[in-house]
Amino acid sequence: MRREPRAFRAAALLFGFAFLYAPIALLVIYSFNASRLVTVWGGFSVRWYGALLNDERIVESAWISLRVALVSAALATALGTCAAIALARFGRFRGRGLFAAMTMAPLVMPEVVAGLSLLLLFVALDVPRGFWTIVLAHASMTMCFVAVVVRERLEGVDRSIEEAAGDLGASPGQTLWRVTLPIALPSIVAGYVLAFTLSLDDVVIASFASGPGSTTLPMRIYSAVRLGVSPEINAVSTAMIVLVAICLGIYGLARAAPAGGRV
Amino acid sequence: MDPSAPLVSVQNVVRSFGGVKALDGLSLDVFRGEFFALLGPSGCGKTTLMRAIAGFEAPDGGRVLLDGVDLGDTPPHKRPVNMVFQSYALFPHMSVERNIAFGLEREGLPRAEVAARVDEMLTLVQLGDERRRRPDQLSGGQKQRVALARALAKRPRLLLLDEPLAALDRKLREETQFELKRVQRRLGATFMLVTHDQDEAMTMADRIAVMRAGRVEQLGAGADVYNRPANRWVAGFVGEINLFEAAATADCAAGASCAFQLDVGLTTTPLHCGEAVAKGQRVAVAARPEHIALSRAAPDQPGPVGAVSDLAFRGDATLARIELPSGFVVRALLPNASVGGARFARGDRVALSLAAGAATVLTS
Ligand SMILES: Nc1ncnc2c1ncn2[C@@H]1O[C@H](COP(=O)(O)OP(=O)(O)OP(=O)(O)O)[C@@H](O)[C@H]1O
Ligand SMILES: [Mg+2]
Repeated sequence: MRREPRAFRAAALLFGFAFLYAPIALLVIYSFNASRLVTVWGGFSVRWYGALLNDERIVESAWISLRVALVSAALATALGTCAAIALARFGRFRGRGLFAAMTMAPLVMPEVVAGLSLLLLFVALDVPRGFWTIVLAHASMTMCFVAVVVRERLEGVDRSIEEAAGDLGASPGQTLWRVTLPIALPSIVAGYVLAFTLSLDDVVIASFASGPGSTTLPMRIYSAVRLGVSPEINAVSTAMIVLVAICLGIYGLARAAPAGGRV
Repeated sequence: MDPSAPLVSVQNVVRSFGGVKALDGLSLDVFRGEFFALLGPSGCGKTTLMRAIAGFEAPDGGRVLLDGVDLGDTPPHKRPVNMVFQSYALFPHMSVERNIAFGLEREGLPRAEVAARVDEMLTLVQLGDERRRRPDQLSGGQKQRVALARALAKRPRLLLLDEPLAALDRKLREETQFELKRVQRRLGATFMLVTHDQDEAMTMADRIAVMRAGRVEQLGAGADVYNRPANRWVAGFVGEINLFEAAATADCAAGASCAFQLDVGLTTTPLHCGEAVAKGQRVAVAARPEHIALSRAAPDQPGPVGAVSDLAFRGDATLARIELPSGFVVRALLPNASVGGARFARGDRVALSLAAGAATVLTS
């Protein structure tokens, strides 16, 4: 009698995880399939990974995605950190509530709406769409995530540490640069990695903001899949999963790092 | 400059938070080379006063002078005052020596000078072996010493210490108290210490300001505050005391002495009156437990007689609680050194008497 609920719980857990991860596991396994047919196992092989490197269009898209992610995450980190400092340190300035709400709104904004409005803006301003428009779009989408992570860290820091810096003769600017930012550094790194990851696997906003010659990797995969799944796509997806997993690992470590810890 | 002029002069400082007056027109002077203590119950405004002197709170009224100069709107980083925070507030991302060097580097001192002063401070607080550790690798007492060294390295004209010893265990606290005194004497610096521990204030300070609800109730040397409390509240707050309701037996001028009739049924020897009192005026007579003597009561003993209701052994002395028929409880401290002296047990009937001239007359 007592074992039944436990067995039931184990089964539920197993089912839950299977539901979440079985498709991904399948994708990873089939990326090592020797056969060209996606549904037939033809033995283990890494030939599709080799084929990837020879596919110019995929390599080009991967390179674009990587650059977009690196640059947009840097921009988002700078802006998000500023917003976090304003929210966590400037006290109750006028319009603070509105500022907080508007900083955080993109967290829940439907991506299609965000993408479409950016597209309209770019068209209205007659900005040629390409690499930089994707960077801007991604930075605006991800900076709120950085702001949330950094703000949480700052609010956990004893205010008297910064007061002590002032007491010891540091101007407010020196206090920010030598005390506040170093203490917040782990969360800033975590925010960067999060923004990088979000940018790397975004399809929707990138589709609105991209132009000819700036097709990101997720967009490339998405359009390729519409013509049918190929083992090559499995391989490139697996590579992305590995990269994202590494990023999330760094993110987790950085967020858990103590204030004095090296990142 | 006049060397007898106060180093810090706090004049009528007011600071309110919402409806609460944390500082309510507070004034006090601290002199050069003095070890000054602020003593008061929790929430009486001690931290707020420190923060006002350091520049973290802008007073709503009044002013703070340092060496006769109004600090006005001078921001904290430009005040020649340093503070040791209650939470230590060490920089978690810096080693012990980087923490200590921080303030010196902000002054733009040459590297060699910074290094020399850091070494000097590390020797002073005996942390030479821990110099490369980070704060999270230090014990509470070591952190406290780093915080002290970091503030002292700047050679401040005034060092503010906000309950720096509260987090330490008893033994370490005693050692650190001793250490602080030693450092203060060696450097000839002016220290202002916040505490709500009266023993700490008595042990360490040259002068004590007893605070209550944003005001100074009494300011003076520890012995003065202890032996001649200014009013009932201070008498009750500092140390253990018996407050007897009493009436004057004669008119008495300020500074003269006269006897008082205690409501418990005892007439005192003549007591010094700080203020003039009229015959019959109601006052309180405060007597420390060590100034109450007990003797075995004869069956027809005149004067106050009560029963010993409790005895608490304190090592060198025993604190006895004597309950009078009226329900009033008197505390008496009986030295244990006199072996073979009168011993009392619970339930014993005892007569009370007051050591001559030892009690204080309180008109407020
Ligand atoms: N930033 C603040 N906002 C609102 N009220 C405050 C603030 N700082 C202090 N107070 C109030 O002012 C009063 C005095 O506070 P303060 O911190 O100076 O007390 P304290 O004497 O240092 O007490 P403790 O011994 O507990 O540290 C308290 O009633 C407190 O609630
Ligand atoms: Mg306090």
